[in-house]
Amino acid sequence: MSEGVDMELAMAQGVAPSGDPGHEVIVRAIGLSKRYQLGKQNFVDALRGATLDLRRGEMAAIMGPSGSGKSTFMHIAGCLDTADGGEVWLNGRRVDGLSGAALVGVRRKEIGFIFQGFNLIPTLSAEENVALAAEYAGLGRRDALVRGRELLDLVGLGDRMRHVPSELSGGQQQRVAIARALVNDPGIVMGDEPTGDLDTATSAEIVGMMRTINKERGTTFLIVTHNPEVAVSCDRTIRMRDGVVVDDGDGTPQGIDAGGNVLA
Amino acid sequence: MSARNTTFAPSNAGGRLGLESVARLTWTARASTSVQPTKTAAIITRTATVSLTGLHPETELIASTNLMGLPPCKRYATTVASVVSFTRSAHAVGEAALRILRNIFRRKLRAFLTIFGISIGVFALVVMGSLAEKLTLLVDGGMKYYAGKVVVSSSSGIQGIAGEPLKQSMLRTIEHTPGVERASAGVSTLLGDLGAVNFGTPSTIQAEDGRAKGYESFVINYAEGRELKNTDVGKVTVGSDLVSKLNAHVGGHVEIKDKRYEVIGIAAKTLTAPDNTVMMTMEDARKIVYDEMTDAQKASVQEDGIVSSFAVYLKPGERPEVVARRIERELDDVDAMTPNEFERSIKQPLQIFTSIIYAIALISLLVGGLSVINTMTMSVSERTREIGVRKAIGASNGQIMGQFIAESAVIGLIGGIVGILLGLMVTGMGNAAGAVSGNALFLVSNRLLVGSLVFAVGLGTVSGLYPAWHAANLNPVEALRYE
Repeated sequence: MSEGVDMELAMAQGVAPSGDPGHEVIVRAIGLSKRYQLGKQNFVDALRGATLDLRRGEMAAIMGPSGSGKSTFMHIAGCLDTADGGEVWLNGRRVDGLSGAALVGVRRKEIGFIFQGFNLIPTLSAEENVALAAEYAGLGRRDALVRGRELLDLVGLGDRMRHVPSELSGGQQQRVAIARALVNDPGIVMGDEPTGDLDTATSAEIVGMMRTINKERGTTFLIVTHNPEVAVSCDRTIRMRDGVVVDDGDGTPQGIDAGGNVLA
Repeated sequence: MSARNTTFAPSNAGGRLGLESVARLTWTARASTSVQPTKTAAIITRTATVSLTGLHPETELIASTNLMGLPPCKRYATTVASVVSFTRSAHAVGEAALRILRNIFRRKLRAFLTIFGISIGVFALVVMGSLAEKLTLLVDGGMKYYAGKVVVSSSSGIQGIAGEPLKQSMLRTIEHTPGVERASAGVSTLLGDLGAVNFGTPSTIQAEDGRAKGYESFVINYAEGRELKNTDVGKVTVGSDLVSKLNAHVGGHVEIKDKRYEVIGIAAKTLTAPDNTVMMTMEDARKIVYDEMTDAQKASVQEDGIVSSFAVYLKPGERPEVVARRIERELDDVDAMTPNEFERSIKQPLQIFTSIIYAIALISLLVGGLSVINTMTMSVSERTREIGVRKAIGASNGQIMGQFIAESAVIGLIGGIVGILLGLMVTGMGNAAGAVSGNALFLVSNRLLVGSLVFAVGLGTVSGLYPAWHAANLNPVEALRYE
C-alpha cells in the first residue's frame, strides 16, 4: 500500500492524514495496512488502509464478517502487533514504529485487554490473575494483590478471590478478566470477542458491566464482536469489511469498497 | 464506588453455584457466629439464599423449613451449616478433591518423571564421584608415602607382596650404592582372608626394621597406646580401619594367622594404606611369611633374611630416578620405584579411570538434561496461549523467559536434591556394609555434593534456555490465536 493511497483513503474518510489528534481522541488509526504472508505466493491483506478515530470515554463496537480485519485492527491499535503501513496514535502519542520493549510499556500502562475464552492463567487464583498485570507493570506483589482485590470487589467477585479459573463460571472468568484489564487504570480497554463464549444472559451481564465501568470511570472501550446485541449497548458501531472501515458509526457513513473507492 | 453493590451484586445469583461455595458457607457460618452474632445473621441470610438455590429440592425444603421460625442466630447458622454440609459435603468434597488431584497429577507426572531423570543423573554423579574421590584420596595417600624415597621390591611381585622375597643381605648393597643415605628393610604380607572383598588397599601385615626413623616423612600417629619397637615381639599395633574387624583394643589381644598378639597401639586415621595395616616386629612378620612358603621356597631362603621391600632414602640433591637405576643395576630382579614412577604407574591410570567414571555419570545427567528440554518445550507449547495472554497484559520478553528458566532451574534443583539424597542413601549403605570389613568404598566429599547440586541447577537452567527463549519470542498475536 503506497503512501499516496493511504492519503487518498484518509482524505476520503474525512480525517486529517496525520498529526496530533489532541486530547479528545484516544486512538487515531490512519491508513493501517497489514499483510500476512501464508506462503511464497500466498498472502492475505488483513488491513488495507483502515482509518478510525476513537474519542476518549467512548464505548465502541467493531463489527464485520470473518476476515474483515477487525481483530487485526484491534491488535495493532492495541500495540500487540505492528502495521505494515499507516499511523497509530494513542493518548496523543504516535506508537507505530515504537520498539518491542516500548510497546510492552504501552500495553502495561495504557491499554487493558479482554479476550474470548481462556483469558486467565489457570494456575493462579482470581486475585493473583488480576494482580499479575499490576506486577508486570512494576507494582510489588503485596500491593498488586491489594489492588487486585479492589478490582475484584468492583466487578462483584469479592467472594471469589481465592478461586482458580476452573472454579469460576465463564461469566465470572470474564469479570476477572475485566478486573485485570482495569488494574493499571488504562485509558482504554480492548475486548476481542469478550462475550464470544458466553450465553445471552451472561453476555448481557458482561456488556452491562463494561458499560457501567465506561460510564463511571470514563474508561474507553473498543470491542470486537459478532454479536449485534453487544453493539447495541455501545455508543457507536464501527463496521469493517475487507480490511477497511466502511462505517465508523459516527454519523458519517464511509462506504468504501475493497478497491478503496468511495461508494455512492 | 457507589454502584458497586447495586450494579453487580444481583449477578451473583445468576452465577452457577460451585460446590466449593457450599463448603465455604459451612465454614463461614461456624466461624463467624461466635464473634458477631447479629452481623453474621445478616450475612448468612444473604449467602444462604444465594447458595441454597443450587441444592436438591428436598434439601432446599429442609433448609427452608428450618429457617422459618428463626431461632437465635447461632442456631440458625448451625442449622444451615449442618443441613448443607450433611447433604452435599461428602459428595462435594470427594468430587472436588478428585478433580484437583487428577489435575495435579496430570501435570505432576511429567514433572515427576523429569525430576526423576535428573535425580538418576545426580545420583550417578554422587555415587560414581564418591568412588572416584575415595580412589583419589587413596592414591594421594600413596603419593605421600612414596614421596622423597625410592622403594625397592622384587620385580616378580606386586609392591613387595606375594613375590619372591628379597634378602636382608641386599641392604648393605643398597646402602653402598652412590646417592643412598639410608635403607630400611620391611616385611609385608596380606593379612588375608577376613571374609570380605576389599576395595582399594588390601589389609596387610607390615613390619620394618626401624632404620627409617628420622628419614621417613610419612609419620603415623597413634590414637591410643604407642608405636611398636623392634623388641615388641608378640605385640602389634592396629590400623584404624581394622579395629572393629579384629576387635582390637589396647591391652587386649588379636588373633592373626592363628596366633595371638597383644595390641599395644591403635594408629590414627591416615585415610590411606596404614589404616588397613597391622604393624608387628620383623621377627613376627618373617615367621608368618616363612610359614606360608612352599617347601621349595623355604629351601632357597632363610627365615631371618626375608625382606619384602626396602625403603631407600637419598642423599640431599640426588635425583631419585638416577639412584633407582643404579640400584636396579646392582641387584638382580628388583624394581626400584621413584615417586614420579609411582605417579606414572598409579596416578595417571587413576585419573583416566576417574575421568571415565565422571563421564558416565555426566552422560546420564545429560540425558536428564535432554528430558528437561523436552518437558519445557512441551510445556511452552501447551501454554502458548497463556504466554500470549501474559504478553498482552504486559509481560516483557525477559519476564516470560525468566518464568520458564526459573521453572526449569527448579526442576534441576529438586532433581539435584532428590539425587543427592538417593546418592547419600546408597553410599551410606555401601559404606555401612564395607565397615564390616573395615573398608569404606565411597567418600562423599562436600565439594562433590555442592558440585552435584550446582551442576543439577545449572543443567536445569541451561536446559530451560532454549524453550524459555522460544516462549519469550513468541508473537503475542499468534500466541493468542493458538488453540
